[in-house]
Amino acid sequence: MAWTGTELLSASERLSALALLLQSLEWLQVRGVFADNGVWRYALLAPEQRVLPVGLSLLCRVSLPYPSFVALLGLRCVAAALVLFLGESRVWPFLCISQILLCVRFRGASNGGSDSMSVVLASALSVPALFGRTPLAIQAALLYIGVQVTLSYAIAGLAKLRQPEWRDGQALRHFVLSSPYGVPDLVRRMLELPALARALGWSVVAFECLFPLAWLDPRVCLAWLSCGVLFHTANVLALGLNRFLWAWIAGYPALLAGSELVRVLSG
Amino acid sequence: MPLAMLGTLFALTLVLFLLVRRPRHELRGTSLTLLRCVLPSWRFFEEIAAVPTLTHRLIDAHGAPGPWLQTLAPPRRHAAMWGLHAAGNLYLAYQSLVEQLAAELEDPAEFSELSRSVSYQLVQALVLQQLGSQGQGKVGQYQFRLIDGQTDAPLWVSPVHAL
Repeated sequence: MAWTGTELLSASERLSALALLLQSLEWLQVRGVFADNGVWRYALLAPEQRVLPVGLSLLCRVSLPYPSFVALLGLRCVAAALVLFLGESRVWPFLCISQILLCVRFRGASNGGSDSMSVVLASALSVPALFGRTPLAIQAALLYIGVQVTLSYAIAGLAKLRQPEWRDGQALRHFVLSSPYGVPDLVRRMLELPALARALGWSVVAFECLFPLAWLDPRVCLAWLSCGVLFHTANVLALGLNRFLWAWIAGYPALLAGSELVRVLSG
Repeated sequence: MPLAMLGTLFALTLVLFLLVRRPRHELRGTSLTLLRCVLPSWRFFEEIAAVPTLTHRLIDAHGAPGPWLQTLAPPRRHAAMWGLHAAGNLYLAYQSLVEQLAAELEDPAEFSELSRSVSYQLVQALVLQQLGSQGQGKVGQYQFRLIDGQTDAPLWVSPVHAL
């Protein structure tokens, strides 16, 4: 069960490209909201962007008004498809910059953490694209992604651990039952049981807080990543957070690389 | 060696725990806010908080107000939502727009010039778009408000605007 850094980088690149392709296609489906009579019309957003650093502000003025922004989304689809289907990795710097521009278009983020994770992935994967696929560049990119994925779970878990409503199960019940998609009766009845809600709440907190253990060994890592897939799958079903599923899974090969590295270092 | 690694992990986790005990600070300054995607906080669903809900109403030519209507319709669950879920993610983006406005309302400095705020204008555009999609003409007036999503208690009401 030993993967090379190049294999894991390639896996992370293709999964990241899939995540970015899906995001871009979703925005293209609702492109009317960016039009001059749409909700996110550029005329309303432009004044805020003047405070950005000059280069970025100029880039925004060129690429974020209506027809150009749709073209940018189209180009992102092409670039992501090139990585996904042909393994072409030289487009990562473009995907990274366009991801940041997309977040600026939404005044910071449109989809919270999944936008940040997309920036983490695209920026890290730009390193081997810019500096060559040397062992050092590959390890640096994978380690950066692995550390950020680990932090994302550990910080979220520790922040929850502080809250009494997470420790007594109320928070999990609240977030699931207030889903805009509605909740099946069986799930609702299950969450009404305080002991079960508490156990499920603690399961989420424990999974997130203990995520750093994934670095101990590739086998432990695989087990933890399987739990992660289940966790994000439940989030898609309950809360419709599909972008989190793809963005986080794209970072999983980097964790395998991290655990492999720790195994090698520990002899 | 595994013990040393476990010890390191434990120490790092302790440091993180001490860091997350600090109160969460909102990013101030437009430049930082616009680039907050590059400074992730990694804190999700941390605490139960009132979720603001956007509602609007029409006021006819005689000044009689109609009923308050929920502006954002929750998206539908569908089989393809695993991959492409444009309506669901657009709904989340609209909701975060509403939450941004609610956050600005809590800041007295921003509250004083609210009608000039970008969040206010974007939410206003959202209400107008919904009115347009409901076939509302250009006659009459409208108003929107934020309510507590759980208790329906009004949090804030906008001035009346002409259609």
